[in-house]
Amino acid sequence: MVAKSHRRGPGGLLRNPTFMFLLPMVAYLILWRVLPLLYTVYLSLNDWNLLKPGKTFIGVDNYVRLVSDVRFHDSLWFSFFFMLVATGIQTILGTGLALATDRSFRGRSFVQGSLLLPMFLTPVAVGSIWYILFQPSIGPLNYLLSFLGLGPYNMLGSASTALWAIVIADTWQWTPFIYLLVLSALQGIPETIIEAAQIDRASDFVIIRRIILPLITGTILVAALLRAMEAFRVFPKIYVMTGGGPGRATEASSILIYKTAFRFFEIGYASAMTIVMLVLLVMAYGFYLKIVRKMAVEY
Amino acid sequence: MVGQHSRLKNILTGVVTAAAILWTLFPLYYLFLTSVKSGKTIMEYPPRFLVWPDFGIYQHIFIKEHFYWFFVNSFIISSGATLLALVIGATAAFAFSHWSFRGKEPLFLASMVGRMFPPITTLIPIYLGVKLFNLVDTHLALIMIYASFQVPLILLILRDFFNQVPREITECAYIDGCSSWMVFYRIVLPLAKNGIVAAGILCFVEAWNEFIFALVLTSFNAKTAPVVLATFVENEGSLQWGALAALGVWTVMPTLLFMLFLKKFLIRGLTMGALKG
Repeated sequence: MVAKSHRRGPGGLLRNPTFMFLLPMVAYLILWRVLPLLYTVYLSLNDWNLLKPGKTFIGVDNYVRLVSDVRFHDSLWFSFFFMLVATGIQTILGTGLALATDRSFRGRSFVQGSLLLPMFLTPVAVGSIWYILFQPSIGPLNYLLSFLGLGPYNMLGSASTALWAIVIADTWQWTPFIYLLVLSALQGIPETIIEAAQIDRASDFVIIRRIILPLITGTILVAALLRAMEAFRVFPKIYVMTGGGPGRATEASSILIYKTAFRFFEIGYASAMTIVMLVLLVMAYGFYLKIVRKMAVEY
Repeated sequence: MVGQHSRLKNILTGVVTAAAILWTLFPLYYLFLTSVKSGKTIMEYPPRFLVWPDFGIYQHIFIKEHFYWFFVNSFIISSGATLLALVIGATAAFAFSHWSFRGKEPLFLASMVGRMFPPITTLIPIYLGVKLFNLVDTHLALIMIYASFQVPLILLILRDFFNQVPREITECAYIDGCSSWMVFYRIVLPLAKNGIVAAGILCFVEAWNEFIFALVLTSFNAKTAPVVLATFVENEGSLQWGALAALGVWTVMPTLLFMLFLKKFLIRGLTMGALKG
């Protein structure tokens, strides 16, 4: 329905209900999202240490400095690696679980409800839970491993394993996200399609491979993209579990930016890091969407 | 859905499901267990998996360590942000669902993109702005920031719910002389109650769980539960395991309760929020 006609003219906009209903949101988002982002770009062109008075405009010097900043490169590699590994594992597990539990059985609502629980929990608390679980002194994991004749390990204390400890915690919390989306896609598949295939004596494997998976591929790809966006910005879990350490083995970009801005107070330099990270992310998503489109055409 | 349940397959999926449940619930159980172990049993090896619960630490944390203050802060901030986001998001969602106007689709996409940017991209300027207006360590600052994250989510969910309100009803109301505001307030909002509850819960949970802005922008007065928990781990984590675990339980309690009581609402809102992009 088109709104009753509203003539343009002095004060016309104020009497236009469409404009008035949209104004709060547009103004709010510009104020809190757009302007800050633009200001970040501006800040990245300045040398500004909060502990010293005033800022100086230095052009692209911050970016030049970033080109040879190994610490920043390492953090980007860590974030991208973490994003790929965590998203990959969670997508596979979540999809598998959804396929396994999408059928009627006793206690189904309890099972589905429990499996979803972790995604609602405070990430800081999830980090704390796994911080406790991984402790060699009080955690149960080393005790359980000792039955297999392994350990004891201090997973959070060793540079080669800390990443995996965080991946495990993240997987615990976010596999349910993929599970939820894939499950709801599965429930949208008409029974009749599956029944027809069964009448044709297709095996379960063939039904899943040839009928179900093609139907839910779109959902899986979108779910993985949403998950990847979140995985890249992982902050609370790392902050709690390792603080970026040991050394800087788990220093994700978000942790490095936080430290640069609020521990070393280099506001301008941290802003430049933010912009570079954002540009790389947008490129990565664009690349992903391109691939997804290709795959979507195939089906 | 997959038919011809052979016995072997049933057993297999049963085992997989049981393992998944154990994997999901055991960490939560162990958090609770650690919080109710007495000081001596915590350090025992092998660790005990069943103890007679001792709830003393909960009271200690909540009252003596003033955790109630931060807990209340989290409530004020999360509810405030949810209300503000609902007001702003719902009015916009009404415009998007009931009128056509120039630039509608681009504007909608633009608001969604705003939500996809990592929050850290705006952390520094927002910190400077909040400092400029002397709002550091106030509830108001966090309420306004969290609302800005949630408005697009509300728009996404409520637009769909508003679309489901039959056109006949709103058109009748216009004929009877209602203004757009009255149609929105008196007719559409009450009819979309479920959507508002779903969107509201999601916002509340997200605001409750937020960490990085609260970490940077609060020091005591407006400090939230997650920040207290994280700084506790940083400073005293390895000394007071029981207290740490109890803090963790206190922090996840509200979201857990929401999840248990309002599962139906939540799941509908979540799937809509995530997929209908």
